[in-house]
Amino acid sequence: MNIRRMLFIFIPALVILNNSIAFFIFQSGRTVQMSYNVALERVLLYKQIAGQTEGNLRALNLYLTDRSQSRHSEYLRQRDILSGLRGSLSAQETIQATGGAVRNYRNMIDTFIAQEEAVLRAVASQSSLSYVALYEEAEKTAGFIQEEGHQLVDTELSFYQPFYRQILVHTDVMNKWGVAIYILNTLLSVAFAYWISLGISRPIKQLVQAAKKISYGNLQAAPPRIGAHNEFGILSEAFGRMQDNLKELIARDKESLEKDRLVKELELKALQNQMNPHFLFNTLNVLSKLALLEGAEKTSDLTVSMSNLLRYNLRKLDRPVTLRDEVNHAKEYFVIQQARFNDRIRFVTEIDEAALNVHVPTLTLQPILENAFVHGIEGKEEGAVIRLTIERLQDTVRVAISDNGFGMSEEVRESLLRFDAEPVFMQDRGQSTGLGTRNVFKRLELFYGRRDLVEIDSKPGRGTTVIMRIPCTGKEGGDVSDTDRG
Amino acid sequence: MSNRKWTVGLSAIFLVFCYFLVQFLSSTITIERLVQQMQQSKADNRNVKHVVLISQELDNPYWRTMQKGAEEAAAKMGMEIEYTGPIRINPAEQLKLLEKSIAARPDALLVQGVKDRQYDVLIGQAIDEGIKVITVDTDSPDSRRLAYVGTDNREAGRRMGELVAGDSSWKGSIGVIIGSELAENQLQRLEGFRSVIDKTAGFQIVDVRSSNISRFQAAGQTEAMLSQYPGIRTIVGFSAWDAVGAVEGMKAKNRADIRVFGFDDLGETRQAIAGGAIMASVVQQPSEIGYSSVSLLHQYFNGGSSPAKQYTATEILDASRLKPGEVHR
Repeated sequence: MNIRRMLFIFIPALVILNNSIAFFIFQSGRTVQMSYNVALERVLLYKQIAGQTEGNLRALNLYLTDRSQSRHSEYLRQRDILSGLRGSLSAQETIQATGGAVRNYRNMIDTFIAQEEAVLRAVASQSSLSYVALYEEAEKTAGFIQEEGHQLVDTELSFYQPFYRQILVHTDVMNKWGVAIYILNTLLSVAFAYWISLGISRPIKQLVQAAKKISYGNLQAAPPRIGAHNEFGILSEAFGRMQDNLKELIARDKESLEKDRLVKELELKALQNQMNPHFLFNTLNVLSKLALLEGAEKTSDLTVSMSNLLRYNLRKLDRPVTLRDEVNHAKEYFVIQQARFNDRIRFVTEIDEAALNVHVPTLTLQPILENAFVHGIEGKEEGAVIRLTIERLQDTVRVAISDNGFGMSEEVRESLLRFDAEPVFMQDRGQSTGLGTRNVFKRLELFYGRRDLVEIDSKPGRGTTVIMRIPCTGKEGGDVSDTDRG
Repeated sequence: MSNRKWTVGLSAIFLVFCYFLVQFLSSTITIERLVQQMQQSKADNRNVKHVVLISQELDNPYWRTMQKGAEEAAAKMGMEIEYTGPIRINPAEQLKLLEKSIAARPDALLVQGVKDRQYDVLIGQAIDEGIKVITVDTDSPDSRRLAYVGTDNREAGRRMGELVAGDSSWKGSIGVIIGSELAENQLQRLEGFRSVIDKTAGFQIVDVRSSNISRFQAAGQTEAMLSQYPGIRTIVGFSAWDAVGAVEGMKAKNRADIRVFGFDDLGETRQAIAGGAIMASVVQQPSEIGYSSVSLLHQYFNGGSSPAKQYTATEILDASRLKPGEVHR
């Protein structure tokens, strides 16, 4: 049952219970009252009639003394009252015990009224003093009425006496139980109300406590156990579910952070592994010296370039360098490639010197150049041009590397830009592609925290242009010298 | 679990509450029933003829028996008997009761005749008002009563006289105790008795005293009579308590050689007859008087007329006629 329905049923039920108890007790009181009224009305009437008879007689007597009109009308008024009372006596129901007596009483009143009229008639006739005897008779009858009235009251009361005695006893009992009922009813109502409020306040308290614990960071706090199938049950269940979801979310978050960390580590390791070891660098130095000793200066220069290239590659990858270093490195790389391709290839640079102080991650340009050689130029017999353009824009440095090679398909282009995804292997060349490029893009993203830095413009047969926009805000550190040489 | 405790607790209180309620209810119902009883005992007998029987003495067994007879007849004939009378014998009170009854305008009156002029006037007044008046037990021949129903008291006196004079071995003085010198019936009995005794040689009435229908006064009068006339051999009582009182008076005087005759059949009289202290009793039939008078009224109400006098029989009760089982009635 839900709380609303429960309150809707129990509160009116309580009110109805209380009211019906009150009404019931009131009704019982009325019953007792009624029992008193039963006899009292009649007894009062008997008494009233007895009194009125007396008054009537007195009025008649007064009239007889002075015979004035006002006295006469006063007597008539009194007589009418008596007649009225006699009428209500006839209308009155009587009990068995007084049935005969009431009839006698009624008849006596009739006799009395008749006698009074006889007196008046005698007075009117003026004939004699005969009215005196008649008056005496009426007086006597009035005496009987008094007596009979008393007798009636006595009879009536003694008839009711046993009833009233019992009623009194039962009324006592009733009163006693009535008080007990009142007390118990109050107790019951209070207990009931308390019980209902407990049913509401207790779950709220539990929920509040649990919410407090969670707000203080204790996610392990047990959700309140409310078995009832009401709103609180649903609330506590929802509460528990939310708590579970929260825990799960946090756990998942932690997991993904850890994964990210691992991936980065792995990627760095992989990048490092791609570079040549120190051994190669040392060997190249020996080769350069040997070439110089043997007089092959060109070979020696090439070897030095190669050595520089290697050294640059072996430096710590997590430290940023200036764009200038990168450009130098790119030039060294080009020298080597030039030795390989001779006049088949031309390297054109358009560099804005002012843009070179910007910081970039190490090995940003070289892998892209390499890519341009490998994928763009290698198959071209002559006239291949690789262009490196660096220009300072408002708050970015635009670095564009373009070739006029084979270009790439849209699919490849997109896969390169999706550097989050697994690398795609170009099956037809049997050579991995894009790993270096992707690595560069990804490192740029991690370094600047932005994804929109790279753009590739390429169509098959029309060459490729890779454009990088390096943000220069806050990353410009003046002329950073190569401190890691050797 | 706490919830369960609450449920149990509340149920317990509720049960106790219900118990209280039932107790309360039972009281209320009892009261209601009593009130209903009070209201149920309403009378509704407007068309019943109302007859007032004014006795000589309210709780006199003789009059009570008459009341029973009258009520028996009344129940059959659709009448209602109102029985009234002075607590102790009191002619003045009896007169007042008659006056009062007339004022209350009943349909009929059963009254004892009283030797009083005013009484006769009242009876006449009642007749004028349309109330049927019948004298019972004692007649009031000078009044305008419609009829007399009861013992022929002269005849009863005569029977008593024959009873006393029947045994000539008890010749001698006779002491007489009567209920009242004002009561017509007593005087008539005495008259009838005297008419027999006077004719019988050897018997003479030496004293007549009044007991006022009281056992103790009868005893006192007997004692006084025996002191005055030690030669009395027979005592006759003309009202119900006289013979029993006379036996007590004799005992007080240590006399056992006296015959006692009485009237009516009180339990004490029967015992004394069985024990031999009282020779015999002339028994009237009060129940029949009551019954016959109401029957007569019934005839009057239905327009019939009847003889002015309707005598009921008397019986002689002595040891031979007293059945052993009938000593106590």
